[in-house]
Amino acid sequence: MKIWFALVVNELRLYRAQRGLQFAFILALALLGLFRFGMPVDGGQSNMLEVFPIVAYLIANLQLLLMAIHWESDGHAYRYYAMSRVPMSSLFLAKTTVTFLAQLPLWIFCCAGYLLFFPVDTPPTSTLGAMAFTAVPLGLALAPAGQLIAAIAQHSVQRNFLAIALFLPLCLPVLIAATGRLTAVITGADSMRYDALLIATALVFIGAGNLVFAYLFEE
Amino acid sequence: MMCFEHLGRRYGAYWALEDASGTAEGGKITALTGDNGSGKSTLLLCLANILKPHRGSLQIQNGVRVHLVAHHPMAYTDLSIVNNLELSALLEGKDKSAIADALDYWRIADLKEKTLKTLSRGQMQRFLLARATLTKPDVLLLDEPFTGLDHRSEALLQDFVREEAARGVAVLFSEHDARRAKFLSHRTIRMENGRSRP
Repeated sequence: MKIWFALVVNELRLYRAQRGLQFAFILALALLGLFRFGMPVDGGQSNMLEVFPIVAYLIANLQLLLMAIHWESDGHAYRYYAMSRVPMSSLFLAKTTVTFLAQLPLWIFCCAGYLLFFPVDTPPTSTLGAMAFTAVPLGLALAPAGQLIAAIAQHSVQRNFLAIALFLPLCLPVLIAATGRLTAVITGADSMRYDALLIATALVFIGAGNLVFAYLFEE
Repeated sequence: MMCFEHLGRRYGAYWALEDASGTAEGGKITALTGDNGSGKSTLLLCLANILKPHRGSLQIQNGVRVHLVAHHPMAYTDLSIVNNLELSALLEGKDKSAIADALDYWRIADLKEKTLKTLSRGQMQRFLLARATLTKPDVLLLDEPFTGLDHRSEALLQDFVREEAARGVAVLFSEHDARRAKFLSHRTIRMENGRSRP
């Protein structure tokens, strides 16, 4: 727990020091603007529109992923953990925790952009709350997936390309489940099966990360 | 404290380290000499548990802590000196006074807020030595530690190595300057083409 806390503090410092987080927001805003104004959107097809904030959020997450790759590899920082025999599962959980926290405002931002830009009626407060809460299962699924992919790409010469190439297909179940959940929340339908899919995805990535993180960083 | 026999490590098909054997004993300073590419750095990375050897055996006594000062900083270059030292202190269970002591010893207290990527080679080396001072290992591995240091820091490092050995630490350092290696060490292991020659 003490090691995990030390690593969480360090990850928070890295986010603050690297100043890359704002680019995720800029990217999300640009994508939402592109989706809204760059392509024809029929205001009546609301079940089509919910995919846009999810896609903007997922692509903006690539920035967090690339940040995670660079700050480990730039100074070979991960070698220090191997030398100090820090359990790599602690590092994985710390990175996942902080990424999850960083993703929460990003999702709120994407939802706000969706409601502002797209021709949708402003939902009641309870629905807004449920939309915002989507950040929790969505982040739980995506944060460990991102860290896992960052670790896989770590030692590759083309690590940025590899990370992006792995991230997008791995996000497909997350995209489907999150879009389904958001649509269900907005239309007042039951979102349980989509939550279950997101949580199942989260469990798979968290389990896989815990098992293979040390192996992926091994040289 | 540490015993290694017939260690080998390859990168792809190329064996950078073919067959290295030796020991690191508490209170002794061992110099690892050899030309560039003779396998010194690879051996030290294996001894520090950073690279897994592909053959041979490495035995380290239970509870023995190993620390390597390498060419790569093995630290977060976007963070400041003090932030990196705080991480090490938290992981190693050291208090803040140990950080201040390490910074003072290596004369980098005035640089502590600088990020690692803005440091000169010599300043970076002093940060790495400060981190080694902070962690107080049982086996201290130094990969060409005099590189980039000014005369004052060189003298400080020689004193530091002797003080650590006097404290019972096993010190193993690589050095291409045979004269300095002989001057500072109790014994020498010579590396040639990935093989150790005692």
